[in-house]
Amino acid sequence: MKIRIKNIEFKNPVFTASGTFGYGDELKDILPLEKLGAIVTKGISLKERKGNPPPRLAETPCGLLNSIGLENIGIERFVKEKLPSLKNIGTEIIVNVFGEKIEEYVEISKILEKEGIRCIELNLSCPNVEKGGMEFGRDEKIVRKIVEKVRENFNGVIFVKLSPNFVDILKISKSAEKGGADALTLINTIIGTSIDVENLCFKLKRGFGGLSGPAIRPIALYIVYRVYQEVDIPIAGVGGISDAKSAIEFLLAGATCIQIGTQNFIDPWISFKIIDGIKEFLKRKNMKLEEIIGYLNKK
Amino acid sequence: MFVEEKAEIINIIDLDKDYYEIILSSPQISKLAKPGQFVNIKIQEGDFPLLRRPFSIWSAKENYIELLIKEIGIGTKILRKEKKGKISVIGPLGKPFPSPQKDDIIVLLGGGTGIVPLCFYAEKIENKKIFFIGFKHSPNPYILKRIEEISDKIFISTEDGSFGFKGILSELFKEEIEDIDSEKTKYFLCGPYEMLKTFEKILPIDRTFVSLEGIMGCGFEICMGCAVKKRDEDRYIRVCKEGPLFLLKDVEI
Repeated sequence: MKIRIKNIEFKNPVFTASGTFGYGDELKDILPLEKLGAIVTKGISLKERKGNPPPRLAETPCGLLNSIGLENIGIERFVKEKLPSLKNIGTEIIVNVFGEKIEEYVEISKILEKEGIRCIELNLSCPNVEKGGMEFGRDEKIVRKIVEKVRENFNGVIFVKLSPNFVDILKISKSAEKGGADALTLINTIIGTSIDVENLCFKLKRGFGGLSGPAIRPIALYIVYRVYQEVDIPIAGVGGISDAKSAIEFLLAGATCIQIGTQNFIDPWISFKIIDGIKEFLKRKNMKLEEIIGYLNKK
Repeated sequence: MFVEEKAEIINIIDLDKDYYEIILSSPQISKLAKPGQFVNIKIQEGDFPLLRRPFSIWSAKENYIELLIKEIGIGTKILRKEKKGKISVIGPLGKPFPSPQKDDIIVLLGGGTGIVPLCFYAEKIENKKIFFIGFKHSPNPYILKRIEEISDKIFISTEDGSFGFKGILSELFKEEIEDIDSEKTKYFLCGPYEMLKTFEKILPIDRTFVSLEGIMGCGFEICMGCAVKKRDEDRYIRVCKEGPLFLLKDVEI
């Protein structure tokens, strides 16, 4: 079940998705976190961010809208308060990096490199902030520039997480690859809204947010399938995976690894069930993991 | 520390148009549960409704937990019609209510389902307990009996005047506050937003605890959804982690 991306070997292809598993160590007394392929932390910015006012969540049919707004304690406190515990978990930690300015991505990456972090995920796709995030991810030149600048300063594995909102995701994916990304994370949430008719207002205080959950799975799956044909770097597939079967869908479409997002909220044990489920599937089909990755896809 | 348990539905009792009680056989959670905590229930298997639904624990004893639920949306509607069988419950979640000082007088102020965590608390503490409850219309006698059993004194208001004081709970409370309030009086408040706002103006915020609701993704610290603003500070804390009970002087409602 091992996978390799660049020079890093992951125990298995099942990761937790950024923003859906806290800083990563909250559930360490309850879950065998060392069994995960990797943990992707919530988005970390240079300065502390308080996030958006509540309500920050609204449930939709088979989906969840969120406008958390990247609430986080900032890189300095993250390094001091969270990293020591995360480093002891016994699996790979991928720090999700967010910036309002290009330089912020670079600065955070430098700090993480110094702290011995081997993998980062550049968040160029969050729809819930005024500056940065999705705004950068819409522009192929900026995407390339950010990845290049971070690449100059970070030797480990760089995942670039992209948004399907208002963009040609194929072009943006290629830009990230040209900039030096080692892998792509596809996809971030899809922008959406929901309205409280009785009270004549939006359900989210901010008005709109990012949709996740099984509702977006077919869209995410198709994007993984399509982008796989266009790039030569691995893809982390994410979007509405809720069981081993849906995880395997992403592998067959071309994902080298998958990330579990919203389903963590419903079942925090889900990643371990999915690891077992993929193992069982491979055994039953008498196939190896590398055989099913991209099985339904031709370059 | 929380667990997931496949709890057996022992009974679902219709109390009136809005309210029902559900009794679950949940040996692990019932042993761990403390007053003020909640459980998060997967209404049915599959992707709809997607999220679990959080419910305050009404009572927990022996191997059972009891929940008093108001039908307010699709989740609580489906749950009400659930057949007997097993249901996934995660809990207990949130911080328990604090243990009172021996001579504290505990005043519990509950509106609608806001009475639920207060009842569990009242059941477990030995102090003098005065219960103020407010409903839109006359509550089911079963609910009343339950509260009578666990309180030393009980005051009731209904908005339509069908039982007790006619009007909102804060109006009834204002008539009694002089006789009740002392430095030893601690208030525990839980109910709809408008009620909390009204009581915020009346109660001493450094002796009042408020149990809050929040729209929750998980209930166990990882989604950052159930944010509540710290009073006088420019930051948010979480209903599921730092709460659901807060000292009123610490949060903005």
